[in-house]
Amino acid sequence: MPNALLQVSHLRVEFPTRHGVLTAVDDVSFDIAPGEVLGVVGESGAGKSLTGNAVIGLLEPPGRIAGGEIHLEGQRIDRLPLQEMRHVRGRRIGSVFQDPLTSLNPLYTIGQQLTETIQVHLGLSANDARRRAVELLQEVGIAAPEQRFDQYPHEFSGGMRQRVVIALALCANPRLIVADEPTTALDVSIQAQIIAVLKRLTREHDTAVMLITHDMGVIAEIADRVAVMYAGRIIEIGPTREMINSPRHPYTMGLMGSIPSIKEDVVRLVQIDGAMPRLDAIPAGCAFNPRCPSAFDRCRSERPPLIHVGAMGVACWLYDSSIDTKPNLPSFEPVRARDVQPTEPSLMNIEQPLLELRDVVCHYDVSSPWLNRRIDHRPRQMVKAVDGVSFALRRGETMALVGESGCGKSTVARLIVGLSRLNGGTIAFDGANFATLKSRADWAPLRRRMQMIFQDPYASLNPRWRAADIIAEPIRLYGLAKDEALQRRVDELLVHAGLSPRDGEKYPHEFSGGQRQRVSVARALAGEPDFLICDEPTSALAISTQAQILNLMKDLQERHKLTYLFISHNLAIVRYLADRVAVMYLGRIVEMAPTATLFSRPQHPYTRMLLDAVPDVEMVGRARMPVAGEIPNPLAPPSGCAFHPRCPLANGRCKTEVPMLKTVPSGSDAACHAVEEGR
Amino acid sequence: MNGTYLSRITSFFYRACNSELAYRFRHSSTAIVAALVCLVCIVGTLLAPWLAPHHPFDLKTLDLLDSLLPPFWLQDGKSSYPLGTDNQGRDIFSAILYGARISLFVGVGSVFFSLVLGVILGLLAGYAGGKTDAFIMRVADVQLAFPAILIALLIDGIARLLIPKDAQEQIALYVLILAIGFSGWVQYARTVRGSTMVEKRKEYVQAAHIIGRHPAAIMFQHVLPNVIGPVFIIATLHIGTAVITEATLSYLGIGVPPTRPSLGMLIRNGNDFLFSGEWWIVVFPGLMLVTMVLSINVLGNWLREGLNPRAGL
Amino acid sequence: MIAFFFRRFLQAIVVMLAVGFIAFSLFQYVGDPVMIMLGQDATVMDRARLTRELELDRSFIVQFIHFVNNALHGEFGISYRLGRPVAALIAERLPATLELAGMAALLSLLIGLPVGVYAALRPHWWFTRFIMAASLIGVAIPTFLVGIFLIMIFAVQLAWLPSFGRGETVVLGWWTTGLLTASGLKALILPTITLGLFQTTLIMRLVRSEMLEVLRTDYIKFAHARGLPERNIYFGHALKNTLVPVITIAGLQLGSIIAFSVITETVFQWPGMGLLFIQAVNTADIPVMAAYLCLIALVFIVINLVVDLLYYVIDPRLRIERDTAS
Repeated sequence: MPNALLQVSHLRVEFPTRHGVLTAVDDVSFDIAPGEVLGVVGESGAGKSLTGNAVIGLLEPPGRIAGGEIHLEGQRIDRLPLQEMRHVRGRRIGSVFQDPLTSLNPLYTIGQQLTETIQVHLGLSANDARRRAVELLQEVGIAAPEQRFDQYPHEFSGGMRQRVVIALALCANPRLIVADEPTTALDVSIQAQIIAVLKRLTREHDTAVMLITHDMGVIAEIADRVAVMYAGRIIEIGPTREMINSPRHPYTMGLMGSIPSIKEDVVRLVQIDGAMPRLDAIPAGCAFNPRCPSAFDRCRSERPPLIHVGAMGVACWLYDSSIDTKPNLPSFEPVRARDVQPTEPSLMNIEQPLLELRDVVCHYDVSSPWLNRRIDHRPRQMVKAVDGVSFALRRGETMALVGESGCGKSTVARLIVGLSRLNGGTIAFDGANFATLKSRADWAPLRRRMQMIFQDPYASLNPRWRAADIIAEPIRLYGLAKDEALQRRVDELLVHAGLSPRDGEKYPHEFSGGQRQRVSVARALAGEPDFLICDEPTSALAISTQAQILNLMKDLQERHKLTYLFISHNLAIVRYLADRVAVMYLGRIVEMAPTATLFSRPQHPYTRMLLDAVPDVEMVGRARMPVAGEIPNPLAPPSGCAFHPRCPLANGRCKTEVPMLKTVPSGSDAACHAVEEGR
Repeated sequence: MNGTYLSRITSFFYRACNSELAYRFRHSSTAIVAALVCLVCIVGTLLAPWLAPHHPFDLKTLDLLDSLLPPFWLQDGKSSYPLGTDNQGRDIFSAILYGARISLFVGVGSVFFSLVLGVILGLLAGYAGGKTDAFIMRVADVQLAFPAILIALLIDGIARLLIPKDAQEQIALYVLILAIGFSGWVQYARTVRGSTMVEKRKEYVQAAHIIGRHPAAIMFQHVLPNVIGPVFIIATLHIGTAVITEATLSYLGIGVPPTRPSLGMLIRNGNDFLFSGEWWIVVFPGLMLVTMVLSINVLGNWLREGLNPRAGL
Repeated sequence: MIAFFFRRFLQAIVVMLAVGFIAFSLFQYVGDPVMIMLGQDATVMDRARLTRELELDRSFIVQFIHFVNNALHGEFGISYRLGRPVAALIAERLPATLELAGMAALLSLLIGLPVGVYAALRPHWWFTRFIMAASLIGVAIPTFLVGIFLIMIFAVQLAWLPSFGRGETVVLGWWTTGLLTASGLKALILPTITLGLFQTTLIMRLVRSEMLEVLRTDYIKFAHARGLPERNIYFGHALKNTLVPVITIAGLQLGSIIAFSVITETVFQWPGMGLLFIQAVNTADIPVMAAYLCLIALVFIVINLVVDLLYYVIDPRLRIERDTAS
């Protein structure tokens, strides 16, 4: 590309280790035009962050640039001496990193950090620098910037901090910003805000952006062009809209198909088997060939260059017109509901519900110690994590609890499995009221029948136990089998979860994230439960792995006749898996409806905003209305309806009266005065 | 847990030898040298009865005519007393071997005591939380108001006053072990408590709860293996401190009894002869002490830095 | 904020009382003061009289209250060994110890801090490696051995510096100082080095490791990414963040210097409180032991309080009204 702002040619980043030299970024080339937003997308470990670090010259040793060139505005920057590179950083290239919590120095006010950067790069006087800093804060959307100038980072919320980070990146008006996962650590509604800020500012200042992320939805919303990375190589690059609507490379096709849709019903997600190869085990030829259904000989021996197909570049031999006999392109299409005959209605017994919650309340006491309270005259402070939740779960059903962080969904899960104590209300499982269960012996029969799968695959398994022992633990405890029978059962469970019996000998660190979740699933099923609570089981996984696990869960539910309570903040996944959805906000259920109804006719304003806020792959470049405001402090919840400060429909009644869940003609239950009054 | 123990042990050793740590050990000259020195010291002192040319504390074998002889390479030295003798005719070399033995015995013993006490208290405090935790930590805080050496001094001093003289000699070593051990449990407890509190929140512990296991089983089978790692590093470095503490107490006269002298006691005896020029009575025990502690410290330090995950792959 | 200090203050009082209790128990259960003071041949009547005088016939609680009361007035009884009031003995010896400890603390800070910082900033410099190796050795040598070796070299072989005592001292009010005379200063050198060596290496290693931790953080990486000059990053951002934990630990370490002075004073026959204490332990002089204990506890508690104060002032995160109690 002529007149490119940033030109990366044949970049190679290597890591010397005791096993030899690992190539983490292998012959990567791309350009960014002035004012353009280039998305770099890929799973974790694909090398995208390393590429970003290489561009700003902050590769952590022992990693080093082993080949290729990087040019900024025509000038070569990858071999610059340290001093000159400092001038480039901040002044001509700005950076935004992932975690706003740790990006800011906790001991300096944000004002100090801003003015320092401004003075270093623009040489302004202290007063001028302060004025500019306040302007910047205003630009990124921080209210009352004059006052907040002298505050410390810990006095800001996560979203606010990220805005400060963006302000810092824009201090000296750089031509290019490298943003490494800028929204990953934030809540969905806040993500939308930050993306909007980035979009607006980069358009206004005509700044180019290299946006590194694993979230295709974010790419869809803000990127002009996108490069897909896999195992350290770029396998496809081109305009965003085209890439999303008609991806060329089999990996990209599989990726697009494995993203659950928020707009339509999908019966089965596309699943690419296997996982991205580790750096020390990259196959010869095309790195994707072991997982590609259409791989042929050339793919296994020679690495494909970027072949031009229209406006896209695709690194795949299937597009090489000079080869005559090639297999067909794989068809990575998800099985859509409209294409499939509806199956018989699932096991929705109308008899006694399996799980019933009534007016469940759970408080956490976070007051300061007694002495402090006396002296500072402060009252007791309680966080009402769950404030009156009621629902019933039928056998065989999959119910989803959705909400952002702090809404109480995880607490509900903990209450159901008995990890937290009820402060009010009742929970009954298959008729057994929790209030009647006192001792461990009372709980024992229940424990067997309900199990839980957790979010963090790394913390869910004891690092010092082998997989077989982890899975065998419940079997041993419940006395279900011994010795050989035990071994056979463990092997069976491993296979059902998609692993092999040999994997039982391995320790957790030898597994990938997706495989660990499979072990978790095997453990959960070991005791033959009826009921499974899944607490965000796929949020920590790569998108293609996510699809594998979700499909697995669907299969297992059918095979073992399980009932699921699925907790998530990802509405698309919820649409894929759940029969019914309950939306929670600050400890209450604000809407509950069958899935189809919720997504087609959302009633509660919060539900509508949540649906709007989800970055959607299909809405390329669409301007969204991000949710206004921040999630309120749980220690000081708003009066009346907790959502009223952020609600466009709020009136006087909303400020004073707490709305109750009422059934609406369309079939949903909503807790909203506006809905009730027909506004 | 059942399973073929033999296969597990062999696989453990296999993995250990091929591990990152073993690799770095083989390639680190400091670690190898330190380990060798350590090994020599330990083996030497363990085999003291066979290696020492004399029995320095058997009064019948001492010959006053051989007193205050310099090391053999100086004038008046004798090769049968390679490092010279003290004012009672005791061979310094043998005295060092036996003395180091006592020093190590007390050092390792007190660390073991500290470790067990500290780990159990730390586990309890971290896992049970609430009042148990508050109580244990308060005690730890009060104890931290004193430096370890003072605590050891105190306990030892008090024991002296409480125990009748004739019993004192026999159990003096154990009193010393207890004194130094009590003064050092807090560091283990704090570390283990911290790690326990972190592990307690992890999902695998919650999963064990949900399965229905007994809290004690969870504490010892799930949590303990994951928190015990740093303890060994602390222990290795603590051995050096414990040996030095014992030497200091003995030097001050409140440590081992004169009939079972450790290196510290030998230095105390030799101190009086510094000014009259018989430097070897002090210097050689001193060198032995420093060498031992240094090699242990270097090894412990290397371990700590080696096990620390660093940036990169 | 007031609540914060009030709590710490209360905790301090509790600890002092606990220490006082232990000290008092020493009095009660260890040894027989009457026997020690009067000897074997005292008559029954003499013993009875002394017992009444020392109030040894009253109940435990009463005696404890008296003990605390007396302690607050600086009254710790009479030394069994020397027959003089303990308070006077301590007051006599205090300046010697404090001067020595103060100089050693100063030395350790002046050398330890900068060397630690540079060791972190220039890890591959030859000087750094040398210092790190030397510090490992420094930690491995017990304090008394350092003293002995120093004496051997500088006092015996070279005869440059004295090997015992304080030299000439000047009396200023109730304080006696050795800093104003040549011989006093000379006498101070070897003991200061002995006492301070361990602390210096400790502080050096501590500062280095804390600084290395800080240099690995995200906000430092971000500071680099913003193009800030090295000076700002290392001596502004990194140093400030390093000092916060260093202050706590260094503060506690400085307190332990006073405890280690026991050893140094023994080696150099330095007429301070430490020597007094050792002699007391060797001769079962309970009043002195008890008084020393209480004093040391007081010193530590005061240092702890000051460190907490400093922490509060420096780290803005603590000012958000949430007191994390241990």
